[in-house]
Amino acid sequence: MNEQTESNALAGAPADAVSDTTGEVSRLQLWCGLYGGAIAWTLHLLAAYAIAEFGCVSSFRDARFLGITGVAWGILAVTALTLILGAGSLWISRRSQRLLLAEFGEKEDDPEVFLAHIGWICSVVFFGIILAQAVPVLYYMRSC
Amino acid sequence: MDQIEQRDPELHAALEKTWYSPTGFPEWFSEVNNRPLGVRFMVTAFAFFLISGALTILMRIQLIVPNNEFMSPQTFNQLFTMHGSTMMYLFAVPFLEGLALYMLPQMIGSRDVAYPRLTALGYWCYLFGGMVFYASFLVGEVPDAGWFAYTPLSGRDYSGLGLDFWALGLALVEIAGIVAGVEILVTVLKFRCPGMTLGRMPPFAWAMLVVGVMSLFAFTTLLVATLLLELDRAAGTHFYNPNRGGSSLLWQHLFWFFGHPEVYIVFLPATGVVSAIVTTFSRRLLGYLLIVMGMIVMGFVSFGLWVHHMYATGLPELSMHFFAAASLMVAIASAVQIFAWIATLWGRKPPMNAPMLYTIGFVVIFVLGGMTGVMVAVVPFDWQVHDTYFIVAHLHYVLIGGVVFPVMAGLYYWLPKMTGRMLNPTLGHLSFWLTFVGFNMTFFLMHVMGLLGMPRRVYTYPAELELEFHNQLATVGTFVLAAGFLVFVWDFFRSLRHGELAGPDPWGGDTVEWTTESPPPTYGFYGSPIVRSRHPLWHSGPVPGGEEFAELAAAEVLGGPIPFRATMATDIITGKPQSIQYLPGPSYVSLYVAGGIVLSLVAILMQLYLVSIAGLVVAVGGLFYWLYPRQEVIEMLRNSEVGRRAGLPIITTGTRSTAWWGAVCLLIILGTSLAAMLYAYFYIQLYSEQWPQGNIPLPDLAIPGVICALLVLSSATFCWANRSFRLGKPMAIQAGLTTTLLFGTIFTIVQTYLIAQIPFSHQENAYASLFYLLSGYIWLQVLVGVVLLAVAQIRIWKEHCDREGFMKLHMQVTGLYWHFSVVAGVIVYAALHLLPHVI
Repeated sequence: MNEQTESNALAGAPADAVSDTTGEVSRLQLWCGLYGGAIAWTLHLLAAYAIAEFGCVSSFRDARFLGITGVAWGILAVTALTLILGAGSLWISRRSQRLLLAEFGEKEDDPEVFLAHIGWICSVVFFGIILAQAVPVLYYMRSC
Repeated sequence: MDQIEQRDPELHAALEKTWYSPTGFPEWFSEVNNRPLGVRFMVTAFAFFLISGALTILMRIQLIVPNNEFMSPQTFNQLFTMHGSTMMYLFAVPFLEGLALYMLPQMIGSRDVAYPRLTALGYWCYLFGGMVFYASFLVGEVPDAGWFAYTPLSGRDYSGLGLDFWALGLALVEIAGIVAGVEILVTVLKFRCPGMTLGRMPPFAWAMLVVGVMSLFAFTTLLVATLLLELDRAAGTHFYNPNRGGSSLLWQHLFWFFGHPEVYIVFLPATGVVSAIVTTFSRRLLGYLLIVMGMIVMGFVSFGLWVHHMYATGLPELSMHFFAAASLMVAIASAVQIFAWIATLWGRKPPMNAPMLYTIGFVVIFVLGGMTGVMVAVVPFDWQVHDTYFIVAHLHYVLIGGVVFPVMAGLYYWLPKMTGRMLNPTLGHLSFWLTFVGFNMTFFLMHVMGLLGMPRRVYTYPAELELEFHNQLATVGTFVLAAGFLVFVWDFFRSLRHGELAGPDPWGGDTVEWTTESPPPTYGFYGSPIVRSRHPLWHSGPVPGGEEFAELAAAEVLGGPIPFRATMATDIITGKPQSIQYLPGPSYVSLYVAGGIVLSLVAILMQLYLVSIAGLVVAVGGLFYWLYPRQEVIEMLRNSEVGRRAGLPIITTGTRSTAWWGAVCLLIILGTSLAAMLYAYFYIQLYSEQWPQGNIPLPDLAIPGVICALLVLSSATFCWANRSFRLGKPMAIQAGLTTTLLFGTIFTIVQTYLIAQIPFSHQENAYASLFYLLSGYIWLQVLVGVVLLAVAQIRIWKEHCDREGFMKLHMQVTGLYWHFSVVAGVIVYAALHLLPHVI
């Protein structure tokens, strides 16, 4: 936390006077850490559902590459992309957590520390859910 | 903080005068205070709960022996439809809304909720909706297509007028659900008392925050689905009619996109209630972070589970397994919460009073319901038990275990705060054991009945199934269960007169609602709740050196008489004081608007279309009166000394203003409606052999393209007006706004002409119905935007350039709406006109 921010916070000044940045962690990073995993999961579900629902009634199901259907390739690609997004969220939230813990210690009800913690846990869970949701496609490589 | 507030008679009188609660006729109808309205919600919902319980008893009497003739199959259909609909729409959600409206401001240290008149509108819509539901009994046309109303059974070929009562009643209840979502969301974000950071919020507030967001998406989707159903029934459209290109499964997709999250909309508040009780009686809460994580994850993932209600409908197997995976994963979030509560209770020896007993009952029953939930998430297992009593058992274990038991726990816990009187401990124990034993007698063997092949929603069963004993036990169990609830009702009324006085904090609770007297005064708090820990009443401690500002501001707003209703608004993350929020007093406008809406809908039922239009005019007129800024209020706030003394603004803009947050919620609602309609459009297109269907020609590109381009230009001209507003250039503002208004008006007029010239009827086929629907939607959206722009322009003429005050807020809100309308217009143009030429 920089000097100016700290003095404002201690003086209990109106919130708008407090900077949007806590040291090297901005509020945007905290929100990304909190919602990044959820957004990645949402995109994965919507895209995978759309590819399966639309692809399985179109010629996409018969298009094959290396013996795997176009539908399965599509879902694998979406899974890879959303896992990268989820991993990004994991990294941002973990980094925020580390920096804030180094700065404030284990003050769990501090708003920034709290957001970093909760963002990290949510990111881990959503990463796991995306992985779990990708498992079925391994059993449907050649059909719908 | 001080443990218990001390009453200052002078201050009390002054605050009572400002925050009075109107009584007598007709003033009672103008009530807007959160606590009386919360009580009305809860009382009405509990009355519906008892009515629905009576219907259950009738159904169980019918099933007590095989081949019983106690009632006809038609009556049985009507009863299970009304039972399910009442429990899901008229009891579970509204009761928890009522509990939240009452308790939430108390728990977060606010004097009221964010939009008091909207609370009243929600209540009237809910009450009228429930009355429309039950009016069907009076005319002998009771809905009979189940609480889910699957098409085509709920279409006009198979269901009579009763379904119209159902759909229109439901529409009103959905409006109530949506406005409650907005109310709760903005209240939790903006009205937390100073110091209540996100990490110090009570778990109940966290649960309601998640529920508020979920309600916006879920109820809006259902509202659109119901609207399309009623259009199919009343206006002859074909959204759900497979014979004319529509899809019955579309209804199931839209319905369950609401239906599954609804389970979590009612379950999450219950987790908040349980967390509060477990914390108080264990004197700690372990796993706060994990409990909150569970709420957030469930809030999201619950929207990804809707297809697990549709495994038996013939969807592609691959699609179903995505949803199976998500259904299994959501159990992790629930399980984490359960373990956190068990860990909290472990080794603490909490008192076994009624709230605690109901909480433990919840854990036992909900875990069983959760386990069967994991079973039915597996596709092959679900195929085996689909539409059997196994599902009846599962859903009751989840809903009674996950909602009714926590509600009962919450009532025993918070009723002393609401009434000022304790309930009787012995009767509490009796009520719990009757409820717990009766519940398991009724529903446990239903698992077995389902596995042995007893189908649900069938009015009788053959003796050869050998399920007479199971059914008799279930029927007896229903009476025992009912007796448990009646003991509670009796205890409640008894306690109002003879209950021991509760005092402010009978349980030694940790959150700020326990600082006020019981029942709380109309204005909530005398002094200023300032929170410095997650358990503020347990960890008060000395005032840290740096919070004088918060102290001063809180004392100014909440600790002293102010000539108008106001509460403190704080930053959404840090809980630092941000502004003083003015709140309106008693008003009839909510009742007028709700009355207009109900008149309009009931007139549709009676096919009195002119009356329906008149009702709509009343509703829109009421809304206009409601939303148009009052000059005298603006002047009063501008001249008020309160803000200057406290060093906080009263007139706020942007994210500081509740109006801005309300506008964002409105955009979420509009965006969700548009998404639901577009989903319907593409879903029907997907399964159509040709698009457009029938002999309808491809839509015109040119004229719609030109007016769409004008709409995009209008966004740029509005930006110009807004920039000029910020720079204080009156002429440029007028020029920018006039151009925007002109483009918007041209769009509206040309779109009206284009709709009038569509060369096919909306009754032609599903494509035609969708074309009219989307064209009409965007026309209406832009028309409302044009009215908003016109009002902004008139106000700027009158008030010139009030760059930091209400006009700035007006421009911000109008801008949000207008830019959203432009984006919606482009999306609709692309979907409706452009894409059919491409694919």
